Amino acid sequence: MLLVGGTNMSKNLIEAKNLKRYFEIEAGTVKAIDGIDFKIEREDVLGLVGESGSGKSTTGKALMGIHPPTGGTLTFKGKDISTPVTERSMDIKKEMNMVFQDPGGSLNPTKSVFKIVSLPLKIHNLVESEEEAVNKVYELLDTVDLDAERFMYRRPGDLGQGEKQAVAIARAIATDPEFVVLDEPTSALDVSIQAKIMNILINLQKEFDMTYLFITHDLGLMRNIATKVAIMYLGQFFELAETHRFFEEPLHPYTKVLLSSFPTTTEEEEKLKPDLKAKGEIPSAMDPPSGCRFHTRCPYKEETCKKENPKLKEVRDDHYVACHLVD
Amino acid sequence: MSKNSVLEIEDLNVGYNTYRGFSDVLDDLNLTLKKGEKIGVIGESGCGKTTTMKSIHQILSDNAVIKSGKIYFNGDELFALDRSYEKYLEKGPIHTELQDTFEENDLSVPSKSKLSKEGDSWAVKSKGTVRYGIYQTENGMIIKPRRDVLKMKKKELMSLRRRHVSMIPQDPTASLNPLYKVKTQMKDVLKYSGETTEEIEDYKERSIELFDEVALTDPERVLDSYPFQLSGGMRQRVCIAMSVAVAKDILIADEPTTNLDVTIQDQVLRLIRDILEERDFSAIFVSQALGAVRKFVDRIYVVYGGTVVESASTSRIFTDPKHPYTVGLMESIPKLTGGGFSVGIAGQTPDYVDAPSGCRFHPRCPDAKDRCKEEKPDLVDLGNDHYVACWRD
Repeated sequence: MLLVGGTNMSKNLIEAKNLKRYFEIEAGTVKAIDGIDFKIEREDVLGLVGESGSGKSTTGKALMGIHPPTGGTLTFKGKDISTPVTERSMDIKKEMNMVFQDPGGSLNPTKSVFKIVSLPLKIHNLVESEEEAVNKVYELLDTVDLDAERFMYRRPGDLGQGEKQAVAIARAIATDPEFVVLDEPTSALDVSIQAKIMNILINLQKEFDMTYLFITHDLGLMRNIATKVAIMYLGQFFELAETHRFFEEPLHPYTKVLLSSFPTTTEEEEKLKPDLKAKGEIPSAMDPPSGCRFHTRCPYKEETCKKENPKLKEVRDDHYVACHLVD
Repeated sequence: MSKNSVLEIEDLNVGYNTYRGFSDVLDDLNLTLKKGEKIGVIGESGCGKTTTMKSIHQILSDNAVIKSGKIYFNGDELFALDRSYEKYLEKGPIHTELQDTFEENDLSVPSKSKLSKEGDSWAVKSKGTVRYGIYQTENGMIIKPRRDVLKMKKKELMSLRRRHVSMIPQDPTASLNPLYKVKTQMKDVLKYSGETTEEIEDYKERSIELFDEVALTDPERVLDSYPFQLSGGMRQRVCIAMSVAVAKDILIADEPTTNLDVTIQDQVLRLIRDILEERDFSAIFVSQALGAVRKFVDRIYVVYGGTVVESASTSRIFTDPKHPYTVGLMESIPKLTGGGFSVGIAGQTPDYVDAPSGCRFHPRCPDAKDRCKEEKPDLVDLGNDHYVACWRD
């Protein structure tokens, strides 16, 4: 099963089977990820959507080895990556990178932009001289639409939120990775700046044939960048489909609730929203509800929903849903 | 000042003293809130939205300077002449001249005949609160005249904060005291807003009533919890309950759902909307998210660089935005219908220590001309109650 060391050049870049990540805390076990299966194909953008506490950030961090999985298998190009980031080979570290949610917190305030962006270049021996590093950083800042002349030797404190995030993106793409985890890269930004950052991300993905895991709670964002969508709730996937299929026919009740909660600005969008209002809050991942985890908030729940946890099954072509009532 | 407005902000200029110099944030901001109207104030962070709201409550930080401007507040308390006037005559002195400030020791009792002209004003001191009114023969009512918040004395300001204008905060976690149980904090709110009598039982009953109104399940448990034992959505509901307990006239919601999840956000917004409709409050809804305000405000003020750049009815703003900033904001929002992303708005909000000359939006504006750099455009009426401050035709 495990393709350790195999030279699997299949189209799947990332494969996760029955992936689990539990956190042991004093009060018990938090099941942040509780058995999810997914594949990310090359040059795909998988949009991972859910509320806070659904385990979407943990999934991203599991892929990066920040919170290595506690169960299941996880492979990158067929190689096992269910190890902590400290035990991964330099090759894998070079190929996978991450952009964090809070650009203020993920950039060292005492280092200049040049130092921040050139660090991965030096670690991976991608540049031989200081001069080469300067040129490369210049190029990278240019790629993310930052005026290198102006920003190269400034510190993060002198930059605006959008510029900081652009620097974080430049750092993430410095080693020319194949796969980047984007953990709500724009949720701390104003909409006008968000649009700019999203354009940069989309262009980068096309230009360098990158593969993204795009984590967000904003369905509007996801609609415009993701090729595939996964809806996550309490550590499990509820729906997995291609973006256009997903919007044509959202199937899971939770998905419908999410869609109907989305604040829209035009009438055309309003028509896409199912008429199903949200109620209640996401339960604790320490003590998830029995059966289907959504049954406490689901308007359609039946007796079976309380007892049996539905499996993710293919109900339409390439459209997977975990619900007893959808077939 | 039209008769039916509850709040009117005129040419407000507020800035902050910083180490780098004077940060000139609000630049002649004008805003009117009519009775029963719900308005939305939108703009990016750093446009002066919160500074404006804090000015209304006079809770600006110590380094803030109110350079000029007026904030008129016109409360909604109506006193029937026949009953109240007699009652107040017995109780205390009444003043007959309309002044901007009433000196407390300057109150005198007018004869009944003196208070017969329309527009005569009166002032009464009762239970330590000074009440003001104008006599209107039309409907036989005495109403409160407008008052400039910036000239209010401490006591009046307290009464304004406690009884007339309330705010739903942006961050419920930071605005509830973690050291006290919810019931203690609820009690204080009710006590100082004059909602209940001194009886402890009353506080509890009233709190539970309010919690029911904001759809908090298990109100008894919530009352007996510390804020950190509640979820974000529950904390925000507690804050809303506190605000609606206080508000008699205006409810200010300062980005009430920014820190909440979409599904919770939707629930909280619907809740605020229902409460507003039921109670017929006037409300100011501050937000960065245009979609969030679209559903329940009547009018939108778009604020940029500390001044209103466009104001119109909600439907007009969303279907026919005129100011380049409003257009940019609208286009920046990713749509559920797809279509990719716009280019956004170049640059970022101005540095107020060295604010741009002329129209403050000109460094980011795609159509900026020479005139925009020199002169600040005034709000121009385009008809249909649509106002835009832009030199572009």
